[in-house]
Amino acid sequence: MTTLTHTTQPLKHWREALDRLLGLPNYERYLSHAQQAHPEQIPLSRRDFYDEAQRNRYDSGSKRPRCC
Amino acid sequence: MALWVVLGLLATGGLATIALHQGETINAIWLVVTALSVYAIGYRFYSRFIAEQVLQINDERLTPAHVINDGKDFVPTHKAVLFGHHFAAIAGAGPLIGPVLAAQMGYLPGTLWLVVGVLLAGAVQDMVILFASTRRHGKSLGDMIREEIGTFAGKLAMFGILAIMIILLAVLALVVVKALVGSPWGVSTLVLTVPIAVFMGIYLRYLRPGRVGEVSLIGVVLLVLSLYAGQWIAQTPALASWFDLQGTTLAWGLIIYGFVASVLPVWLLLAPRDYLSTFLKIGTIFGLAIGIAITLPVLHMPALTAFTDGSGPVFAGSLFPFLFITIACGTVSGFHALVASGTTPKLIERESHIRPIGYGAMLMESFVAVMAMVAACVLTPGVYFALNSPAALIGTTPEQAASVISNWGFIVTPEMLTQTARDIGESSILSRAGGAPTLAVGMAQIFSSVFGGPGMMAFWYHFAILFEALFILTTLDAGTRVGRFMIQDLLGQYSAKLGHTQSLPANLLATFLCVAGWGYFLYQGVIDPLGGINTLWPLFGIANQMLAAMALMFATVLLVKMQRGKFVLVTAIPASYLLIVTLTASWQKLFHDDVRIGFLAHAEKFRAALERGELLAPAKSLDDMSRVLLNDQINAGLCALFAFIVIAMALVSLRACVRIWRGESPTLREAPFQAGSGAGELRARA
Repeated sequence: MTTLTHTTQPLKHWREALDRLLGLPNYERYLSHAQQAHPEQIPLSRRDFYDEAQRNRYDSGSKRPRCC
Repeated sequence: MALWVVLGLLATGGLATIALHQGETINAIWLVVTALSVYAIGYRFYSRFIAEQVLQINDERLTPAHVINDGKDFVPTHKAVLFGHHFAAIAGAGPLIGPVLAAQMGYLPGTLWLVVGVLLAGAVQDMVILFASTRRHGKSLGDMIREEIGTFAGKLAMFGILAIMIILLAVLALVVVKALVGSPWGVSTLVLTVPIAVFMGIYLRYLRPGRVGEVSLIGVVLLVLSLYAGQWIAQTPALASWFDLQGTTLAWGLIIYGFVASVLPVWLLLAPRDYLSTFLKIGTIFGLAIGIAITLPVLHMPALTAFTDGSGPVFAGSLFPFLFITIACGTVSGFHALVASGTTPKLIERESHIRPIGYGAMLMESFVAVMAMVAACVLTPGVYFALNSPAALIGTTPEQAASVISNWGFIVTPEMLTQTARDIGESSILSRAGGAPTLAVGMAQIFSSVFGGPGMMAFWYHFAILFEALFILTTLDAGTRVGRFMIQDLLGQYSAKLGHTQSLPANLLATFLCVAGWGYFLYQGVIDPLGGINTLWPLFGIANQMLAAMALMFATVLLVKMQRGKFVLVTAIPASYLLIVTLTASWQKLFHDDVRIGFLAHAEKFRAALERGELLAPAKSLDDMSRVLLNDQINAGLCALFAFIVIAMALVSLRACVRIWRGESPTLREAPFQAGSGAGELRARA
């Protein structure tokens, strides 16, 4: 199971921890995943990745509602 | 083991002390220690029981994060990181406001409901729903209800979520309006946050994509500068008059802002401001905890006040059921069921993390609410009531207010009221209902005794107001978008054109409907002579607890379907209690004889006066009179609708359970079991 090596460590991966705290995925994580799992595809650029992530975060209706 | 005995003694001793304490004041440390030891015991024993016996959590089962692992939304995430993610998603303004309002009955009832209720209801709900969603590849609550109970139940849930969203947005907007009326410092600071957020958005998109940490740091610095700029503006009369606004102006401002902000692209305003408010929120929560730990403030509010009988000025209605809907989010919140079935289940590394994240994060949320209770009770009760009572009851001058409030038995002088206003840099503290200003005064008192001394009180007050307002603006913007998508979902069933989320006219129409929905209730709240919070907060509380009751009923059906029927009380008891609370509260809001509580009694009073051609305050014309009447009827209709939804949900849930008890074999729609070949490895890493 290669997946088991994917887990984050809060201190080592503090940037990713920060992204997650704000409800975003992390570009570096995505890039390493994309290179490993889909080497034939060109991965998204950093800007496109965060653009898409932000749209998914806010424009998906009741799937990701705001909390009181 | 000795540790648990000591904690047990601490919890019982603490509970006994806060309940039986006689005397003028009590130290906040008692509330804090009691809450923490009760949480520790609940977490150690009850959540473990739920994890091992009831849910039978299985670390050999791969979670969706491993099965789907797409590097983005589904990623196995360290439990500390995920705890932060989940807590930041569930923590909002709600748990800070409810306890402040509930403090009118004394610190005791609210605190008990917070610490006991969270163990048995709120944390259980969050944990079970997180579990259910993790077992279903991260499906949302609505989808799970539809698949496990039925299409009708799914529709009920969907509709319930939309209704509560609208009321939530209205009440939060009202909180902001109440906090900012006649406060040029507050308004100008808040206006300045818009260019700050836009700057951050541009920076984040064009200059340094994705560097949220550094841009947020810049944002926080700019925010502090804007607080000083706001102070300068407030002290410059020519500028101050621009930002010294009335309630109705602010309401229109928010309505227009809400519409515009929620049709702009998210990267420009919403997203960067959300990052800013997340940091501010977490910083403020830690700051408050440190402040309370260092200052060990004394609570001046009695354990119980005379207002438990329902005659209180802050909200009307007796302790049962109204305390249990006033403190909603800190104890149990239906919204958390949506978050727990949102992003968190897709990031869970293994099932045993469901316990610290589902149950644990909710305990932390409850603790935030306890701290809000402390901040409200630190104030002199007379000042607390001056801040929270409507002008219709206490008048508009410090002299009138002081004499009315002293008559209630909370001695206060006009000088104390004017001095407090001067300390926080405002012209008046009277009738600033809604919780935020009270919390801000309490926090300013605590913060300024740690950092900066009395001279910093005004700064900390406006910092706290900014924190609440910024947070709520983000919720308005994001919530309007959520509402818009839900409305488009509904409309799309009748006309495919209106359901197109990419179509601009359809988008604008749905946004307009959503803003009109919350804007209507907001405006009605602003012109209400009893302050609006009186009417709207109970409606919000009912809706929020109703959603929680629905989530817990779903959880109960799930336990029955999983053939864990013998543990069904774990979710059935909190579900039934919330059912009783919300239905009693709805009944009283509809049919109570007291015009302050019952919508229909209030409507009848205005109808009778209208027939006689009499004017009743706040109406200034017969048109106003008819509008008050219409508002009452709409509020009553909404209340009846909530009651209908929750009763219907209870019936379909019960039917689902009865079928299985009669011998029908249940079909559980869990994702197929996939054993982690690395399960042993997982254990070794534990």
